[in-house]
Amino acid sequence: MKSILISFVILVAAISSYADVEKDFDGLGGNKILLEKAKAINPGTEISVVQERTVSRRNRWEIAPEYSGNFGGDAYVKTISAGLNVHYHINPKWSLGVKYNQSFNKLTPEGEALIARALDDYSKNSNNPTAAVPAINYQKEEKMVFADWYPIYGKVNLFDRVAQFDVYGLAGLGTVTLQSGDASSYSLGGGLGIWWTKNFSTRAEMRYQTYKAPFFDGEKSMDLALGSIQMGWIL
Amino acid sequence: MMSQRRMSVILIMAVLSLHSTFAKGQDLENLLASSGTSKAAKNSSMMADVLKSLLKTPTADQNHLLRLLEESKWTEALIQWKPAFANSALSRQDDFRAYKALLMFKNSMTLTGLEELFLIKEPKKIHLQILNQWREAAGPTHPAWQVAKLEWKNSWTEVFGVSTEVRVKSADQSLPHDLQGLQALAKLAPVDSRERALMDWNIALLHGEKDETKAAAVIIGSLMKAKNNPIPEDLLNMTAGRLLYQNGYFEAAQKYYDKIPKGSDFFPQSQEEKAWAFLKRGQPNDAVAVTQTLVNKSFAGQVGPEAWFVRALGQLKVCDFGASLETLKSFTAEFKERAIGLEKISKHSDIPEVAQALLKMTNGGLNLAEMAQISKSLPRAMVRDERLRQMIKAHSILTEESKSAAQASATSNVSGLQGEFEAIKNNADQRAARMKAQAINRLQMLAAQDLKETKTILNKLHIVEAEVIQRVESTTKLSQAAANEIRTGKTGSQSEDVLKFPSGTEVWMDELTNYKVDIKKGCQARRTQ
Repeated sequence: MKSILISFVILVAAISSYADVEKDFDGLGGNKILLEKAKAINPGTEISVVQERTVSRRNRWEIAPEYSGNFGGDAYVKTISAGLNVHYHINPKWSLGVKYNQSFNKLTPEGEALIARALDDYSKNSNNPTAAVPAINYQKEEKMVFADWYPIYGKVNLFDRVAQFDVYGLAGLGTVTLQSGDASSYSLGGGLGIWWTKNFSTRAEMRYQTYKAPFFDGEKSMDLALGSIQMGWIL
Repeated sequence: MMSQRRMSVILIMAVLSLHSTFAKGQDLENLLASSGTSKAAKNSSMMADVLKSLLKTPTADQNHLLRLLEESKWTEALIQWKPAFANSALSRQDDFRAYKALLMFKNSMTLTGLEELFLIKEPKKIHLQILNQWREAAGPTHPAWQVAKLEWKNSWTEVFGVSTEVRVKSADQSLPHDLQGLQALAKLAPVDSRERALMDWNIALLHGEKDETKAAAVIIGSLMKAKNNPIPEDLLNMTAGRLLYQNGYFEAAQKYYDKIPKGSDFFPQSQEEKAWAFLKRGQPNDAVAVTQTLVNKSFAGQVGPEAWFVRALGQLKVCDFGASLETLKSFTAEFKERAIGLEKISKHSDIPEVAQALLKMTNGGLNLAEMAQISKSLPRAMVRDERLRQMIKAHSILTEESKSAAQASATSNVSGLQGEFEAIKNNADQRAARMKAQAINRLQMLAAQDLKETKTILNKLHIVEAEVIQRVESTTKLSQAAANEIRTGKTGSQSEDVLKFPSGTEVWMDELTNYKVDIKKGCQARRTQ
């Protein structure tokens, strides 16, 4: 009986002790009217996050192999290119670069069909073939100098890893070497550069390219859209 | 013809006999003098040779013991010790006592072995080879030195060296507590040794306690460059920061606090002190910016209550009364349950989370984040408390000793010997139980300290709240004109190229420690009526 009484006293003491702790906390910062009044006196507090860039892009070089494909342009030829870009980052907002691409071409199904028809026509009527032969002037190489401008930055959570990125615009001029010879070209476009580590980057780029190409029936203005992926190593 | 055949037979017999003699000779050599060249084999041979040299005419039992020693069968050798020296006066001689203690040490009964050895009054008289074997088995870094109950005399320093002396004395708190005593001991320790660094660390702390911060800073500086330094780098940076803070060099102190990485157990404390340094420098908005990291939910259970106090105070100083009240509310949310939990831990010894945390510490360590995962009510200091760590290590060694004694007892069938091993086991069990109780007591004490700190801060926050009430009642507007009160934050990355984002409710881990607080209106109260 005595032990039960002692246990009860200990239990009551423990409960009252926890209650004391709880009571001490009650009421702290809980006055809603005061809170509303206090919030009205706003000193214009602005909390922001100011963090370092993963990659310092001041006076840095970036070497980026590229793989690209074109949309539009010559309807009878599909061109893909592989090449190399060298970027020089003046600061995080601006960079200059040079690009070299080697192109690989193949006929589109439409081009193949036309040529097959022309060959068939020629085999049947070799003295006076009438089927049209598609006019093709494919691209062999591309050389370009360009400038990138990075006005927008952000970050993204990819695979539980925070990666910083910049959205950029680009303008470039250079030459494309066609089957018929060299032609001046101009480019405008934009892209997304993701800076994974201090040295590794990825760029996804879309650009418009234009140049004049000579054909049998005269010079035509070629307007192309090029999509490319670059994997860069920042020195 | 006959003679030729006989000659051939004799030759063959001679060759066979030679071969057989050679083979027999090799067996004998293998049996009588092992030709093994490995370190373990040499060690066994040395152990046996030492004992052999002490025995003038070994008995059959003693010879059996020597064979077991040669074969490195330590458990069997320990069991054979009793029959070999039962009723012999030899067993009471210091050489034989030291030898038996060594056998116990080699059988994982490390504490009993060391404690038996230290009962010998004149260590210098022990056979040199036995002492050499002891030195080899119990190097200065052996954990048993920090657990065994030893009365260290100077004569033992000559046997085991200053390194071991420092280790034993630092474990049983018998290191000198005065500067001269510590400096004298430090001089004995080899230059660039761990022990020298440990002594220097203790000297630096003593200087710090006496407000001799310059002397302490010089030692901390040299410790930071020392190669064999057992003091964690984060703790050195933290201490350097504190010494500078103590002397009013707040900006310099902050540079040391900044060296402590986010993953360190010292990180929350370093940020809290960095916030105080900003407050002392008259930059309350920057103090608020620093605490923005600490009040993050991902640090729940890892940050002390003072972070909320410095935050509320900073907000009060920039007249952000609303935010100050929000901080007080969030303090209740964060610490009310925690305080109740701490109270429970400080009063009861059978809390499952406590057992879980102690087990984790036994099995390789516990950091702040892991501790908070087990329970947010565990005392923060437990992960860094050296005495608690010592107790847990001691418990682990004692448990191992008990297991080894039980194993030896089970293997032994010699009468009287089982009782001896049982006694060692019981002693180890009792000490392990005591050590466990001490560890729990220590943890309860740490919980009580944590709770006391929480209650003290709670009282201070009530005062902050009273101040907020008074200021809100007397203020209706803040002055736009008080340009000198407009504050631009100086926290966040100081790099030339930065990214700036608004701080929202969503928390990104990479943003922690990069907050900046700007105050746009002057903190000069105006009444409109």
